[in-house]
Amino acid sequence: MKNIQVLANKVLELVSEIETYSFYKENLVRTMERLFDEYQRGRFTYFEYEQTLKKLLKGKSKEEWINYYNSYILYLMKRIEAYNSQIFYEAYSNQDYVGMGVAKAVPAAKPAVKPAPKRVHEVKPKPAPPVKVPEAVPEFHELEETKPEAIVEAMPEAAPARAEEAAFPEVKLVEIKPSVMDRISLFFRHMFAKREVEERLEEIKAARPIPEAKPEKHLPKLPLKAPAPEKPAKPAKAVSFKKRWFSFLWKTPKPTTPIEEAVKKPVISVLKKPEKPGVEFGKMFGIDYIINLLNRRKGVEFTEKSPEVLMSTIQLETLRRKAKPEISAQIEKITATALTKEATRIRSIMEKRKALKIYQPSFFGSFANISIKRISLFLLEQFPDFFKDLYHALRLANIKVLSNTYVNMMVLGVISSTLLGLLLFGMFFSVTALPLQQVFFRTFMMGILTGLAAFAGFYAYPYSKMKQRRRSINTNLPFAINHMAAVSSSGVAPVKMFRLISESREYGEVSVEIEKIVNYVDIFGYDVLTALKAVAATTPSYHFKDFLEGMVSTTQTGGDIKAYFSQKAEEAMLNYTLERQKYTETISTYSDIYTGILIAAPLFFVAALSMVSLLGGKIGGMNVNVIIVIGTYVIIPFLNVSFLTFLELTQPEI
Amino acid sequence: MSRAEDLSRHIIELDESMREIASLDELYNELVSSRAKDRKELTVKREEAVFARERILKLSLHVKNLLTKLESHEALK
Repeated sequence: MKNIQVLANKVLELVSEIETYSFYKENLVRTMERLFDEYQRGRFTYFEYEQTLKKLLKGKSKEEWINYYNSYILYLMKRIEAYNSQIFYEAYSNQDYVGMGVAKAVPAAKPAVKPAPKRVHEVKPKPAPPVKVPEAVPEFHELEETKPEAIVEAMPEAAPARAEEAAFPEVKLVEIKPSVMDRISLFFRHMFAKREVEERLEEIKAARPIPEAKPEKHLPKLPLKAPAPEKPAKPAKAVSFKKRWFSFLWKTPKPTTPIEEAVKKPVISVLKKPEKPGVEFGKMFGIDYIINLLNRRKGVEFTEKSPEVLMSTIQLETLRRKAKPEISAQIEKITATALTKEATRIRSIMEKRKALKIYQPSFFGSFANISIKRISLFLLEQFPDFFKDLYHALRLANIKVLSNTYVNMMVLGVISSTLLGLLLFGMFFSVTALPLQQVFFRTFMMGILTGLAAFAGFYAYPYSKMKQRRRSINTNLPFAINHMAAVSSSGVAPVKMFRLISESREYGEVSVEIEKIVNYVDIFGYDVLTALKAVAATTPSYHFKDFLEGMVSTTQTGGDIKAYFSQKAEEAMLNYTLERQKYTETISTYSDIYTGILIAAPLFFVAALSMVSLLGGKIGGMNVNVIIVIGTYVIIPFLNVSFLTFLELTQPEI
Repeated sequence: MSRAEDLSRHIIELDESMREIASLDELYNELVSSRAKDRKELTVKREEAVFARERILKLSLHVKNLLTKLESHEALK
C-alpha cells in the first residue's frame, strides 16, 4: 500500500491549505469587526473607515470574500474526498497480509554473523567474535522510566535499530533434535519454571508494585512500562549465581507471551550486569563454553528464539494509545457492513471511471489539426455563422469530436477527396478518346464535384445524427418517464433514479442523455439541478428538454417532484396513444391505396393484357407479352419498394 | 462552542486521522515486507497487519463522514 502514504501526504497538504484559508477568512472577519469597533469608538472618521474598508476588501464585498473562501474550502474538501476514496479502495483491495511467511533456515555458521539481540546471554554459538549489543535493550531501560507520552517520543530511536537488523542477511534456522542433556535440562526447566516466575514476580513486586495502566475504553491493557526495582543488589547476585552454575539445567523460562517478556526484560537487564562485547575470560572455561564446543563439534545448529516483543507491536500499541479516545470511539462504531458498502460504492465508481472512454484523438483528426489548422481558422473567421450552426449540431448529435477538430477534418476531407477525384477521373478520362481540353475540363469538374460531395457529407452528418437521436428520444421518452415516475414514487433520490434508468439501457438515446446527468453528478461533482440544466441545453429533443426544464423548475419552486413525474408520465402516454391512433388511421388509408393500386390494378392489367395477347397485336409498339413480363418483374416490385419507402419516411417520430 | 471553533476541531480531527492512516500504512508495509522468525511471530505479525488494515479502512470511512459533516457545516454556508 505504498500509494496510501503519498495520498495521505497530499491530503495533509490540502488540510493545511484548508486551515490557511479558514484562517484568512476568520482574519478578514475579525479585522473588519475590529475596524468597525474602532470606528464606533470614534478613532476613525467615516471617510477613513470607508477608505480602510475598501482597501481591505479590494473592491469586493464581505459576502463575496466569504463566499470565495467557502467555495475554495469546499473545493479542497472535494479533492480530499477523492483522495480518501482512493486510500480506502487501495487498502480494501490490498491482501498482502495473506502472503506473509516465515524465514527459511540457513546453515549453522550464518547465525554467528548476526546474533539475536537478547540471546547473547543464553546461547553462544561462537564466543570469540565480539557481539554487537543491540540497541533494543537500552530502549527498554529508557521506557521504564519514561511516561507513556515519552514512549511515543522514544519510538523513532527504535527505527535505526530495525534498519540495522534489516541490513543483515536473514537468519535461516534448522530444527534440532534434543540430546539427552537437553531433555534433562527441559525436564528441570519445566519443574522449576513456575517457581522461578513466581519468585521473580515477587521480587518485582517487592521492589516496586506494577502500576496498572489507566483503564481505557478501547485499548487493551498492555503494560509496556516495566517497573524497575529500586534496590537490585541482592536479587542480582542470586540470579547471577544461579545463572552461572545451573544455566544449562535451569535456564530462564521463555515467557508465554511477548507482553510477559516485555515486563520481564527490563528486570533482567537491571538485575544482570550488561554484557560487554567481546569474550569474558571466565566464561571461556565455563559449562556453557564446553557445551557449545561439543555442540559445535557435533555440528548441531542452534535454534533461533525471539524472546522480545515485536517492534511492530510496540508501534501499533503506541499508535493506539496516541489516538484520541473520541476518534477511536467513533471508529469502533463503524461496522464491517459499512466498510463493505463503502467499498462497493467506490468500486462501482472506479469501474465506471475505467469504463469511461476518454477522448482519444484519431490519426486523421490529429493530422488535420496539424496540417489544416490555419485554413480552418481563416474559414472560421470568415464565416462564423455558418460554422456556429455546425458546432451546435455537433453538440446535439453527441459526436465525440472537438468542434474545431471536426472542421479541420472536414476541410482536409474536402481537399483530399478533390485531389483524389482529380487523380481518379483524370486517369479515367485520359484513357478515353476525348480531346485533351475535354479531358482536363471534365477531370476538373468531376474533382470539384467530388469535393462538394465530401463537403456535403461532412456538413450533413451531424444534422442527420441529431435527427436520428431526436427520433430515438421521442420514441422512448414516454416509457422512460413512466419508469422514472414508478421509481420516484417509491421515494428514491433523483440521482439514484437516473442511475437506474441509465444502467437499464432500454430506452435508446434517452439512456444516453440520462447517463450524462449521472456522469455530471458522479464525476464532475455537479449538483443535480446544474446537471439537468446542462443536459437540457444539449439535448436534440424538445420534449425531453421541456421535461428536464420542468423538473428543474419544480424542484426550485418547491413543487412535488413525484406528482410532476406522474403528471408527465400520464401526458406522455396520452400523447403517445393519440399519435399512435392517428398513425393507425393514416396507415389504414395507405392500406386502401395499396390494395387499390398495387393489388387490384396489377391483377386487372395482367388479366386485360392476357386477353389482348390472345387477340394479338402491340401496345405502343411493344409486344404484349413483353409488357406483362416487364410489369410483373420490374414495375410491380418497384412500386412495392417505393410504397414501403414512403411508409418508412412518413412514419411519425412516436 | 462557536461555529469557527467547531469547524477547526473537525479539521484537526481530519488531520490527525490522516496522519494516523499514514503511520498505519507505514507499519503495515513494514509488517508485510518483513519475514517472521517462527510461526508464533508470523501469527502475531499477521494479526497486526490485519488490524492495521482494518484501522486504515475505518479511519478512511471516518474521514469521509467528517468531510460530509464539514461540507454541511454552517460556517461554510
